Amino acid sequence: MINIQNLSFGYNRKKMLYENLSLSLEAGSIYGLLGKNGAGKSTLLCNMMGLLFPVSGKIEVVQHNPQKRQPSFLQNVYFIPEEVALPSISIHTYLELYAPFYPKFNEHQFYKYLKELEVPSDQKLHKMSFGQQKKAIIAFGLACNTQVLIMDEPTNGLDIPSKSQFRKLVAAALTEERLFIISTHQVRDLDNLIDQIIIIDESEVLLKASITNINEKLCFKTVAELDENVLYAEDSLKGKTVVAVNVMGEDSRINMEHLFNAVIANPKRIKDIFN
Amino acid sequence: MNNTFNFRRFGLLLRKTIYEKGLVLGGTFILVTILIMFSYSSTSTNRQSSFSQSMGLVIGLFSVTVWVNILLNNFSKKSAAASYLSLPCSHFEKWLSVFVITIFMYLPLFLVVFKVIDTLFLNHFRDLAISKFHYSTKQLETDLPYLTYNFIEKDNLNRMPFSIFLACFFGLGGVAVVGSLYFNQKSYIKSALVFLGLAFTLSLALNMLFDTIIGEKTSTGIFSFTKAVITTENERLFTINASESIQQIGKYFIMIFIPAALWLIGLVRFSDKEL
Repeated sequence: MINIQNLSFGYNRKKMLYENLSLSLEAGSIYGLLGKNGAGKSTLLCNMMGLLFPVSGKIEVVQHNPQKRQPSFLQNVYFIPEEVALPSISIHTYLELYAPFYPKFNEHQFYKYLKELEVPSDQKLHKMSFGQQKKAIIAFGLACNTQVLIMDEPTNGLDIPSKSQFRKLVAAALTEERLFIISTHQVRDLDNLIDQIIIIDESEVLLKASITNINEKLCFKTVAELDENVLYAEDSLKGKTVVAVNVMGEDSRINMEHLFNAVIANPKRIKDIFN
Repeated sequence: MNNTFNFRRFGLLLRKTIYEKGLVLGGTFILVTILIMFSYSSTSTNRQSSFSQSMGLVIGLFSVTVWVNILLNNFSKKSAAASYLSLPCSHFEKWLSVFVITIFMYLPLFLVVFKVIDTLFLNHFRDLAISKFHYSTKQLETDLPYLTYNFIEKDNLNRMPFSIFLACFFGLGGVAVVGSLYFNQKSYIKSALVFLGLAFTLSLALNMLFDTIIGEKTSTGIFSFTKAVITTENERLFTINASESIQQIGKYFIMIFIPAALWLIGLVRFSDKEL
């Protein structure tokens, strides 16, 4: 559904942010795009949306070149930016003005999502708090039923109950035909939500793997002593919490934060393990 | 699906734009009306009404740049720009919405309101002129003529001919479109500075060119490509005009080609526009 081939991009031609980046994303998955601040997550998403143009390389999203920003492409993708800019109108008016642009928009779903996220539907958008605005736009984005939904730091500004509600709604909205990409640097927010992880750092993709694949190849546990299979370790009350190569085929629960740190700390080894 | 133009989509975009920006645009129009009325109220019956009429036209020209800037002020914030650029409409539809709202909505509205204000004030001035200063009908026609939108220049009027007003309106609108699309931050100030800088440079270059060709001290206006005024050592003034056909070409170039080119650059810029 999304194919990126040899993408090179830079805000400055002398210092490229990405060089020859290739990535392929399939429908029916929720991808978590993880990276440090300034790693280029938002830039990559903007390239996918056609809001920024690559210096070289090819991007194809739902069989369209995003750079052309054709209506047939734009009505099939929805982008929730990190900072939302909403007009000074009510939610009902917003719905009247924006929903007709998206042929698969479902009004019933929209109000249901608003209710579940506890957003009052009779308020003016600009009078809402940042978190409420964000939730309103998340509800709208989900209700658009576009094939691709791209969310840049969607959990920023959301309170703890809203974060878990967000995970619930996003997981329920996924179908075989849809693809969600969620970028965040708050890796814990994506716990139990994503089924594919992409970690980028220093202009390259360090890891792109499914949760199943990660579970097969890595294990997350607490140990008393470190051995050569340990990729990352952190002191804890019970000993050392580690991310290690799964040589014994153990079952474990992925700790996103530790996985992220392990990948950032051992990029070459991680590549060897997963390739 | 037609990715260039669709009536329904265009209608939705027009509705959305007017709904969201209507308040600010309306406020601008009220301000313009107040300024024109102020210009008339500061005129007395002893002075020719053409000053107020010229002022009104200048206010109209100034206001079109503000009007276009409001319509295209989505690029000062990244989130607003992302929302606008990812709205499922073609570049042509987005450009056309600005063109239609400016040329087919604002211009007629301005002309009608300006004419109404002029008629009301002129009626009052004429009544005063008859009762207090005993003006004859001929004097009324000479000193207090009503505003007319004639394309042919009137000898007894100091104000600019309507055809020049239209060309300037169209041209300054084009300058504002290009400026708003090239500069994200403080686009109005930057566009004005670039425009004034270009006008000054062009004027200087023209004078230097004419000086070199004619060999005497000359002066030309910014847009007088076809006329030069020569000042000799004895302070005598001579005007040299180009042939009639060259003057016609020059006139069409300045009044039609340049404004149209500016609007077309705006259309092209819509497709190149990034965040």
